[in-house]
Amino acid sequence: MKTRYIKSGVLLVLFSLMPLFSCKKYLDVKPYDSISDEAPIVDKASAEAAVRGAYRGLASLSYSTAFQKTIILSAGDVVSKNNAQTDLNVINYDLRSDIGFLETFWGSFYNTINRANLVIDKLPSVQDNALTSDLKNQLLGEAYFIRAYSYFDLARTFGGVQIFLTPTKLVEDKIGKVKSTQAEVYAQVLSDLNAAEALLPNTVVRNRATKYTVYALRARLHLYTDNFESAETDASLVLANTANYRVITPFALPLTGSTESVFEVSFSANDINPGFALWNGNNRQLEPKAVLHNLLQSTTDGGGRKVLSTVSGSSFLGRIFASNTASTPLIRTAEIQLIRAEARARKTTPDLTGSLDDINVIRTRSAVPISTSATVDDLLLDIEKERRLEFALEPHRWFDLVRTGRADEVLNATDPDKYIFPIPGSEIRVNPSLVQNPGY
Amino acid sequence: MKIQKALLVVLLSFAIHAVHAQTVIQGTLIDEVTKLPIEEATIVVKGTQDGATSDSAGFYSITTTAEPPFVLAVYGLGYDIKEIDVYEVDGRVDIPLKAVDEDEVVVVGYGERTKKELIGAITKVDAESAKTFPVASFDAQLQGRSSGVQVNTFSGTPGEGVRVQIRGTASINAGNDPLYVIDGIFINNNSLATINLGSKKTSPLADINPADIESIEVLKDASAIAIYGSRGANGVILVTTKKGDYDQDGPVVNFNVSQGWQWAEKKRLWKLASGPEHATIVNEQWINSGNDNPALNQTYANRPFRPTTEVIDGVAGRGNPEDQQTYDRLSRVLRTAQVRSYDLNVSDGNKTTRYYIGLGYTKQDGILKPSSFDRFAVKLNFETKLNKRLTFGSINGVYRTFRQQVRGGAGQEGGHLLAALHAPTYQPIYNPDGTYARPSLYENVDILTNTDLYNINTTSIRYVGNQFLEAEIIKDLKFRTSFGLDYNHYREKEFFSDKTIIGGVQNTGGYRSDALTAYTIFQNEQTLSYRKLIRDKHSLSFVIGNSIQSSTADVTSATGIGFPNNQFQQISAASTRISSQSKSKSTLASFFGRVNYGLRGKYFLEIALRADGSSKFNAKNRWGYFPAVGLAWRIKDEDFLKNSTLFSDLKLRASVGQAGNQNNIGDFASQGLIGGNGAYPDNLTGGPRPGTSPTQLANPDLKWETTTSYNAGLDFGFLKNRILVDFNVYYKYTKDVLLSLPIPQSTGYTSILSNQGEISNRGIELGIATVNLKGKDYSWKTSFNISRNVSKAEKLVNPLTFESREYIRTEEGEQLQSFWLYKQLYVDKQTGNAVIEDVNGDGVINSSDRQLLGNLFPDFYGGLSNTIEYKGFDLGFLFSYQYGNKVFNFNKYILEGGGTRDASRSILASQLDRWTAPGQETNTPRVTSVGNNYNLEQNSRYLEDGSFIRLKSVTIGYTLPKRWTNIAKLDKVRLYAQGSNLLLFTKYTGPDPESSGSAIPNQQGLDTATPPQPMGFLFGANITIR
Repeated sequence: MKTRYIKSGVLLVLFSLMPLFSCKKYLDVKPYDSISDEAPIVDKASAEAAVRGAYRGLASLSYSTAFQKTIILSAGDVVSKNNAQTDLNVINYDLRSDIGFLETFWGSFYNTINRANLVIDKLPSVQDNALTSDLKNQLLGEAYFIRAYSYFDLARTFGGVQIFLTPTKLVEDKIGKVKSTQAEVYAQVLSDLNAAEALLPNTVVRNRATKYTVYALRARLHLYTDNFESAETDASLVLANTANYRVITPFALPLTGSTESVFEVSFSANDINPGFALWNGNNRQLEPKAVLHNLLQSTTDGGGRKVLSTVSGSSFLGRIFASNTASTPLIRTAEIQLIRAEARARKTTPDLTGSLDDINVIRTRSAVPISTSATVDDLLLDIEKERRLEFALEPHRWFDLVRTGRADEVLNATDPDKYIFPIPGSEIRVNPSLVQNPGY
Repeated sequence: MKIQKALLVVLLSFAIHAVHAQTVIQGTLIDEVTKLPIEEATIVVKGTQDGATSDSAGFYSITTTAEPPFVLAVYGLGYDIKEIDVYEVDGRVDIPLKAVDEDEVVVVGYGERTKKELIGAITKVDAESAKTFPVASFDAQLQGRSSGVQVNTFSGTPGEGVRVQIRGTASINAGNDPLYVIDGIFINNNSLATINLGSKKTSPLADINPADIESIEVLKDASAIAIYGSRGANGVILVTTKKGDYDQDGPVVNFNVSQGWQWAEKKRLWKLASGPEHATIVNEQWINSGNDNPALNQTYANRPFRPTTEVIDGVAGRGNPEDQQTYDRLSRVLRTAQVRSYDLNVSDGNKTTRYYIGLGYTKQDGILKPSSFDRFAVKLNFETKLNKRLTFGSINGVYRTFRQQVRGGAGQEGGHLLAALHAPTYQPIYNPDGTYARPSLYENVDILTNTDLYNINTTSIRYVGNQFLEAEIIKDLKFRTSFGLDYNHYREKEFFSDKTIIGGVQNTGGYRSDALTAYTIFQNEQTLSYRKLIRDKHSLSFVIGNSIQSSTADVTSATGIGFPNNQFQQISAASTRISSQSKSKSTLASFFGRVNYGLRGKYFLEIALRADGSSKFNAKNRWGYFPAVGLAWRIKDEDFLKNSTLFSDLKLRASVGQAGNQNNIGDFASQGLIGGNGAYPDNLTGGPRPGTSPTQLANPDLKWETTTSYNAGLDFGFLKNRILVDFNVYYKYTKDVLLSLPIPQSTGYTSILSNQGEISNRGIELGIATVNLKGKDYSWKTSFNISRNVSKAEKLVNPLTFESREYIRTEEGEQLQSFWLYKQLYVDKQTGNAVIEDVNGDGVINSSDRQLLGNLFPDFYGGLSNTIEYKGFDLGFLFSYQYGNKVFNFNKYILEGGGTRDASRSILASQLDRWTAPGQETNTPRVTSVGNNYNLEQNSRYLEDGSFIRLKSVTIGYTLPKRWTNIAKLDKVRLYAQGSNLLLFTKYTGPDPESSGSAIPNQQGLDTATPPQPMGFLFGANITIR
């Protein structure tokens, strides 16, 4: 009797110890929702997916609500409905390095860059018969373009920043790197764009990068670096393709999905457009100011562009996005036209009539009287005003006024140090080699 | 008059009845253990005046008129009160008494101990009195009840998260919650909420029915927690549920019913400026700002509150301040809420089987409409001796909880309370045409409180159970195997009709989202335990065992947008349907052992070791080894104290040991990950196609966070243990802190989980329990505890900041989670401007001038409870207190913004104290949007002292005399009334210093978006039938 109990007891003990033998296996759990980053890009499908991920970064992270809102608010033509304390810092040109959204922009741009870097690093060595060399080139070119776009935004927002051209494997690799100057960053953007140009096809896909997209962004870059001849050349390369890139008369929304759009980013029900909530709904954060609304409604200024602002009760609604799945225009044909107008007016030997023609293309399609300006200064004022109205709800004007040295006069932003935003304090805390921008 | 007469007749009839027979009861009172007689003990026939006192031989003799059956109650100094049912008097009634404290059984990890041989710092909580407190979950009931346990309820909404911390904060990102073990099952206490609740959390512990709880033990020091190894670093809360007793005299049925009402204390609620006052402040701010910065183009002429006839740039004025109306929204969302609870349980046992069945239903409405919580609970515990050696046991709890949720959160997604509190008072709730008005940022309050239009609810169905088989292999050697399961089927639903912002503006045609989380903890354990007393001199016991555990979360969700009309609410009818599914899993394998040795009942030694392997770490760092050793010396039993009449107990305890932590880190925290969350189209016409992006940086070196604890304790008993004191000093040092280390975002990532930093916690705890008075039919007991803990970041590479506005910061050499603020020194009497301390003296106020100004952890905290019994009456009350903690009054920060928030937020009445004229002394600066008066978000002006003393509960009960209840064949009937949170003493200007808008770790202590803990009354009856 007793021995039976002992026997059964021993059996129980042995039985219970069984799990021990498979302990190692038991403790090896593989992730379900993700894959290991050991081999992120190995074939055609994974290469395409990685590039799409980089576009998603550009669309959903880089052009976040906070970025659009801050840049648009800085231009003084809209009011913040939320009246957050930090919005007061923005409109008073009194940013501090401990304001949370700065960290968001900064991190978002670099997140997108890291996605692009991963493609640039891994794609060239991928061997897959399904991945043709044309497709490989296209994907690589797109990654260069996305990186260029991100560094361009970083430089115009934060000035000189650190340039990283490889994906992050170890944090240590990226600590201790000193900032490049703003000019150096712009030079990197140019180099990436040139690389992209050589790789990308000569096609028209408005929500992906092509040769034309590269020309367009390079034209904009040249304007920021005062290379007006080159800006004109690149702008003309886009505008010469009139079948695919021309402004449409009359001015009508949306400004995407047509020849109005050179580059736009797409959204869906799963990845909704953060810009929509910025302007729409009771929780909207921005409204056009009366002064902007009135300019847009004026038949001599806004003309057809009056649809950008509508009256609702005692407030105005900005009407750039029709829904939360609408695309966001990043580079529009109208911008290329105005880039060329400005380049022609400001190049060493100004082309005043060419500039005027470009301005009047925009004015005509908006059904406002054409301009007859005959001096460089007048033309530049015309361009400034056209850009203000044409891009009333897009994050351009602040950068334009800073770029042209007009922020002080137009916005009463007297301290030039404030034209460049402070590097987020949290970033400097963890990377002491990063030097804060002057004035913060 | 008539009634009095009638009563007199009734009483007299009892008296006459009593005169009829006389019974004599005699016997001896002896100590159960020593068998020595007990003198001067009181023995009474309950419900009568008849009683006696025992003599030096322990002899007593009572003459009573009562007829059996009746109850004899014995009150001996230093002994437990004993009640004996007397059915017939047959000669002598000898009564053995159990000395207080002797052999009080305390549950420890994988075993039990008598209090005498206990080495670890363990507090046994008075579960009986704690569980009547009307909150949903038992963890919230623990406030003030144990030293070393800090409990804070962040919100007045039933079923929401509670913070429980044992001996401070040892971790930053791996969690600071204690381990909860119910009848041997490690249960989940992390909120499963996946929907947006605005930083709020639901408490999974609210699933458990407190009525089923037999005892709660809090394990605090290394010796007590060592057997739990990696799980126990933050302390362990052991819950034992009722099981019935073997050899019971028949079933005992308990029925408890209570009904109560709760409300927010009116005079502590926020006071808002009226419509005219709001307009005045905004105009004043408008003009002041215009003067300060002319570029703003703000003048008296274009002030916002000007006559409606003055149209400027196409915008009409909003009317003069005095023309504004005032609309009260708070009263539309707050209510007097009902709480009710019914519990029925039965327990019984014979020689071989015992069982407990519990049924419970609790419903609590929140004071914030429409929140509510209800719970059905079924408990079945069953244990049977299959034969002489084998015992099978089954522990089962099935719970269904339903929560009507309210959203918290600040900012635009802010929910129910903020929509009422932060919406400007001058703005109407309805448009002139009767439609819902929504002029400010928030949803209309009448939509939020109407569940037909706006409905967020959660249904949790949960099973917690453990099945075990225990075999006595040879005498004193037991083998036990158990299979435990904690399964939670957690269903969340959101519906926003087309009348709401979410369903009508952000999305059109209504919005509906459902999420189903299946969360499973499976656990299998084997233990071999031995316990032996050798020749009365040596006691030896050991336990060895192994445990494997897996936790799996599987979340499936679906969203539908755009419904034909509001009658369609199922996602199948939506025009856009989005779905998602994800899964995660972690496993843990452990081996443990513990040896206890006692010599002559005086010297005790305990050695424990546990090894844990976790799937969260890489193979090379997977295993952690956590040893502990403890010693105790019962000085009382030494010869020099044996005969002391002053000391009835004296014991010295000491322990040192290590414990690990990996609780709240991601399941795949050490791996580099690529996520599938980057879909993007290939062209304009095709839809999105799959995309990937790097989501997590690898850290192959990730390993266990390890806490080394030292504890020294002294237990005193004075005057036959009428005064019991326990005193503990501890020091905990945590190394390799699991830290979501911020890294340069230029890497493309925001943080990496790594073992960085070291944290210390040191503290003292004192608990005093006294029996102040004890006599024939009265007693008065007091228990008091006080604790102090200081958590300090000893080593940290870089300061850590938390919360999007970086309000909270942890810095090397400083206390954890300190508020990081600009210090407003004063308001300049002449200019009205706030003067901010320029810490580095560079003449500029920027982030380098921010300083650490206190934190949300108190300098000391504790509780004081009293229980007084007189005849059938009982009175109990509990005060809890905290001193030296700070609260950031976030509501005040938003609502005392100097009118700069204009039409987007309301204004607190306290804003009216702003500076208006030179020479005025005030702490509230001149209102302007320019400069530092209102533009510094992290202004110390909003940081307040959160110290408080709270009268947590008062209970008055009356147990009906036995002779009345016997008529109805009831064993015991107790009627009681309870008041909760009746008094609050605090300097804090918000309604509740414990409120926190966020329940997320490291982001707590900002008071916003939450109703205060309610005050209330309830009435109940407790009926026992034998």
